[in-house]
Amino acid sequence: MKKLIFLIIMIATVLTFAQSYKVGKVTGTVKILDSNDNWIEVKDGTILSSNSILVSEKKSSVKISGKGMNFTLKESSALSISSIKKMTLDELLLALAMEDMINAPRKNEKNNGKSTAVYGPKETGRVNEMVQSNDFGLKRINGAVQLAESGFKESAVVTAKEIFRKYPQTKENSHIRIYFADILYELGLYEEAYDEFVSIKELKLSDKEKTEIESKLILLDKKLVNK
Amino acid sequence: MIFKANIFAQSSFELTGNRGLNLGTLTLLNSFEINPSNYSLLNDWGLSLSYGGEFSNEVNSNIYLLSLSKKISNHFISLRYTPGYQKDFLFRTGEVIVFEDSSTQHLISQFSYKELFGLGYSYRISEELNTGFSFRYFTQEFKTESLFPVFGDTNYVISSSETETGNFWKADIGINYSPIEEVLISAGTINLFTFGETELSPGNEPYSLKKEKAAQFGVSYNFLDVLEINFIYETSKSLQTGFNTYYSFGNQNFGIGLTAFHDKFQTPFFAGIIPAISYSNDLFGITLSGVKYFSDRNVTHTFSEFSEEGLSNVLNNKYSFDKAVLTFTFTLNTIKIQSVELLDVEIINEIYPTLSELYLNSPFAIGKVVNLTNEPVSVKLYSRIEGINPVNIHSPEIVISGSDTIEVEFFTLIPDSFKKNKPEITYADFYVSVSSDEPDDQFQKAVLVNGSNSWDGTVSNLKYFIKKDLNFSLNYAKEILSNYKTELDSLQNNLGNFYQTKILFNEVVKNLIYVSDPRVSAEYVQFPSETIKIKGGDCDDLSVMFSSLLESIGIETALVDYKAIEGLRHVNVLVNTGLKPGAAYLITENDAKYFIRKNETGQDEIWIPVETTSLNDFNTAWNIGTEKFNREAIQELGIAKRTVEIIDIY
Repeated sequence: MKKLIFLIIMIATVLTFAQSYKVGKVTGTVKILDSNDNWIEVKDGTILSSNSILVSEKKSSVKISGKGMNFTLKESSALSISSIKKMTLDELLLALAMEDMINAPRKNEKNNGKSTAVYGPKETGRVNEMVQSNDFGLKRINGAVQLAESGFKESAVVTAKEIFRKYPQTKENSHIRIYFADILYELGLYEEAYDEFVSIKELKLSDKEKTEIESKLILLDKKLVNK
Repeated sequence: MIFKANIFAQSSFELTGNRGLNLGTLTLLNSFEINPSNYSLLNDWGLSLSYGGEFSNEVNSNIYLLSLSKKISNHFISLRYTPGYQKDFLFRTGEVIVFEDSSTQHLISQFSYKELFGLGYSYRISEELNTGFSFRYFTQEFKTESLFPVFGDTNYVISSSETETGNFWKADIGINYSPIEEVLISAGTINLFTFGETELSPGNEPYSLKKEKAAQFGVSYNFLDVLEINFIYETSKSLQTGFNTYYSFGNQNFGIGLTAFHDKFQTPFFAGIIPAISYSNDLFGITLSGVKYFSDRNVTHTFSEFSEEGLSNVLNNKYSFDKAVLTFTFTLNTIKIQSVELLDVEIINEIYPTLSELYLNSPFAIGKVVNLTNEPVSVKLYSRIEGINPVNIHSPEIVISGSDTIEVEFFTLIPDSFKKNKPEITYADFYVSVSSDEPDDQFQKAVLVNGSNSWDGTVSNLKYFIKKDLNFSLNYAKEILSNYKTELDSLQNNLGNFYQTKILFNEVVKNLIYVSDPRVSAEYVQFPSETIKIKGGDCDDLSVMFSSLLESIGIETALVDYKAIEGLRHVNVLVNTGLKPGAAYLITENDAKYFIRKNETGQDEIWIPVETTSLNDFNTAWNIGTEKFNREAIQELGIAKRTVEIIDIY
């Protein structure tokens, strides 16, 4: 490997920072969670790095701008700065394909050494395992929805997929799942929408949702046959 | 390819008829009469024995022929002993002794002709062309009784017997040419040279064997290896024609043949036929043949007739009788028949000793092998690299269709103990074999064996450097972690991976320095023990070392191959914390700092990117790794575009 790799990485980091968004108008309490896990309250003019997550509390909002775009994050929402971007349909398809690649279970060549027994209080491996509250996941979903509403539909779909994986409880929210599946349909990604509706069908659904999904699947069937 | 030698001629009369020298029938070997060029398809040793009888007034049995043949490379040598190749004549001289009791005794002459020995040599010039010569040794004996008057007190006559022998050698040459597989054209001489001849007295000279010079031309055509038709013409105006059919069942061969011959000295036009049946396998052959003359042989010929025509052929002449002959032929192959040929070998991968496992799955050389037979053969492939392999390393066996040429792969095995500091050119021997004993063909090629620290630049192959030093890494990691026993014991179990990773990074990597590769042609990668010993390395060395430490204590890692940053590649490490997504908050609240991957059972686990070249504290390395991973692998869709590749160590 070449020299100065580390320097290049550092320069790239700085450049990325330089290309990030700037906070415009802030209402209520809005914070950023930086890469060092620090919560920093944002003020007008604060520069947001791409690795930061912007989080708004109740009755709070923030308007940000950068890269020729404006975006307003409404109350009780969280959004990764890096997800505010325009994507083409091809990029969305690539991102979805990447999601499938990542979701494919890894092959393990060796017998997993971790399966050997641990004696004592750690025997089960589940002692004191705590699960994160779903609140932050819901805020992240709210952020993704607002991203879609602001016209960043492709990016919103990718963000939602990421959130579903990182906050598994959000994946049980049929209403949200249907919302993003509909976006796939609107974007003409019928196969992807079909797969998503089939997956949603496995959730606990209201009668109305069941009917809606069935009709969507019938419609998508026809679309795919005529494709 | 020449597959038969069929120089048949009536004057070159053969007891088994027009059976050819087809190995499938394995009939009489070393028939110089029909094969003056001594051509043969025999591969090594051959032995023939012909035994039979002649049906005159009584049956006379004889060993006709005993022969031994040997092929050495393109040379073929034959020796034969022919005690049964002889013809005796008894004549009355016309002088009669009348005894006192009026009884009479006719004086006789006995002429005996024998062909005793033969020597043949042939040389295969090419697949299509063969030439050779043969020598044959003849003896002839003339014994004549006569009366001599004795004058004295009493006049009387006495009878005495005079015997004269005359020996000589005959030499002939021949050539065989096969322009296409089905056709064989042959030419040979008859009585080309005579030498070593004993001069006979004028009285016996007229009865010596005739040595009229002539030539013979033959052609044979083979239909689908089932039916063969032969014809040969002698310039002395004799001819011979015939056919043979063959039936093969595995290595069992059955043949039937019929030859008709015309001899200018005999009547009718076709003086006789030689039917034959044969059986043969890979080891031996048996042929039962007979000679049937169409003219009546039990007639008395006059001396004047004999004196006028003479004798040209010991074995076949107008005075010969019908015969039956049983011929046994044995072959012994001490020389392996080459079934496949290794045409070429291309080394497609230099040898990097540390990437040893790679050569078990990926070939280091590709060979081109041709099946020289018409049947499918199963070919064993093996190789040995000088200085690396103490024994032959076998590659998977492969079946090659008849006459087909295919590419074959050679794999190798590099012992764990093999160490080399500097690259070196050595030789690899490649072998192909159909039977297990010895190779059919072999090929030698130079191969570059790099030093143990050399790397081919493929990031996925760095895992071999990680695995190689695992014992050292285990001891080293345990030693460090033992200093944190209390802290680690107090952790929730599911945070163990994360904190052990953090400790090892802060205790080891943080204290190293970045050192670029030595200026050598191949990429240079240090083993973990070397990186720790010299306290530094480049991104490959540091990632290899950190991954090895973690893998040694059961923490899964993956290398991240960033294939291009302005033309530069980079490697860092992904670490499996073992945490489920719901427990991510235990290590960070910022969900951009981790990455979810499914394990082999389909469960999501949290992985974190760590930049080993940051050479700072763990959190900084994690942040830098995260930033790079998120940007290049996720946001720029590097994983989908294959510009970023995640390579699991196991």
